[in-house]
Amino acid sequence: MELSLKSKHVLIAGGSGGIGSAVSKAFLQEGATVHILSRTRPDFIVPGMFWYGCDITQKTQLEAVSAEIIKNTEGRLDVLICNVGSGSGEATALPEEAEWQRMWQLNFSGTLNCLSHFEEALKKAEGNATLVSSVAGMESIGAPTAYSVAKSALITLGKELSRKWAPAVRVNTVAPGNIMAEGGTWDKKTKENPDAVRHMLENKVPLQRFGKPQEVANLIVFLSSDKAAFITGSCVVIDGGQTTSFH
Amino acid sequence: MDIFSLKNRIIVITGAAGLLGRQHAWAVAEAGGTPVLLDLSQAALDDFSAEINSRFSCDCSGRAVDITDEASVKAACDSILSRHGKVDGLINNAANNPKMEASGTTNFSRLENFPMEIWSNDLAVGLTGSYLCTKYFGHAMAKNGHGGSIINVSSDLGLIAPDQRLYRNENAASDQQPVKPVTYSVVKTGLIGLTRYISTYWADVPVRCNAICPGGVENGQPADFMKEVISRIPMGRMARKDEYKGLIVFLLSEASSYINGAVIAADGGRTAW
Repeated sequence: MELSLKSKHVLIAGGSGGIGSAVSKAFLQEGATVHILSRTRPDFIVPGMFWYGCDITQKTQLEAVSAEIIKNTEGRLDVLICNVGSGSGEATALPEEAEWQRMWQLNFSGTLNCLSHFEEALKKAEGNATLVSSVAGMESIGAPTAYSVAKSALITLGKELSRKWAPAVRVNTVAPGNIMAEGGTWDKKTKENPDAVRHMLENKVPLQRFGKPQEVANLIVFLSSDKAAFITGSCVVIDGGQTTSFH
Repeated sequence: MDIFSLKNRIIVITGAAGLLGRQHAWAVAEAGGTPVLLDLSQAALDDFSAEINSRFSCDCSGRAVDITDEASVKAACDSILSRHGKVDGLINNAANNPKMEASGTTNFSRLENFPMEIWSNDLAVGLTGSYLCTKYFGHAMAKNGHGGSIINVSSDLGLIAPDQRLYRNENAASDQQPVKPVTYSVVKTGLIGLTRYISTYWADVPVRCNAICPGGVENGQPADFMKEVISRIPMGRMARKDEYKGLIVFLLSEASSYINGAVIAADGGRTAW
């Protein structure tokens, strides 16, 4: 299926990590001009692709790379992917204020900063944005409270913007379940306790396996394409069936 | 390899001669798959399958089947398996078009007047038909060695109640106002229940099952109606009839291999609130 993403300017915040690098590579494969915002330098930089070293939870850092991004995209952003966050946090039901702030910054404010910062460029291109939330933002699945609440807020943010930026800009959210990325949370847990992880998959996920970063990337690339031109305000769950039943 | 490809996939489509069914079939063929068309009129299916086969190199065929009749569905499944050897996908697309016109002096679309016969028939086509097709074609997929994908075509009205003000007729008395029939909401919501059930039932094989909730398609509706509908859709328009093709191909293909039990709104934002 031809997704018509060739030469489109695609900015991926958090485009160098486990899911992020799969997303970036999927857009590269579709011939898009890929711009990555991340703290660490991607190890797959190719000619015609751009990387901006930046912690998007810090507005000043975002502002510092902004002029270069605007120049490289000619001020027109066809696609914005916000894939920043981490579920590593305190397991207490209600963590202290400092932990809330840290988790909120990482899992919500970074995405908010990006959307605010690139609103004009998205509107100019009549582009679209996809926010990466989590099934933890929909159901209580045992993730840290602050993470789940922040991811839940992202779904609402996506819906709000889908209405308020319509019809110029489409905005959708994806809610992945358990994704196995090299060096990620599940990779570490599997190395520590493979039996417990196997047990979790068999008991909680109908497809009985982890999702792959590539599978999340396929969904994001689809939603970003003209093939999804009537899809906005949606939250698409990609979890192997976990939230339909096995809690 | 194109991960969105449906090459060598046998995809059964119900209601295949209808407005959206034709689009689904075309999408499957465009993606390299073989659509197998089910609907009531053999002549319409023969014309359409010939059109598809003249445009794409596939072995598209159509079968006149009453999907509310178990023996007919079973016979169709046997015949498809004998021709193609397997089934890889199913699109439960068939549904009765809701009838809203006044009949004589009584508007039968209203709940108070809604005839049992129409209730039963709408549920038979929309729900029993989807159940029977899932039973036979889903089972065939579960046995094919690599699983498959079932798409249930729900609606934005599977997620929200119809806004009956849209169907208002200024010339009719208040107790004779046409409404979107209750069966439409029941069928489209029921399909979401079927989706969740099936998403875990054959998950080990895996046969994945997802629902799509498309918004209304522009199809020559009166201008006043269009204006009212559009005012409820953030994207400011209804869907084009070919606009769900991408989602259909995505959900049938390996590109969506971890998406199971999902209910995907594709409605221009109408249900986002």
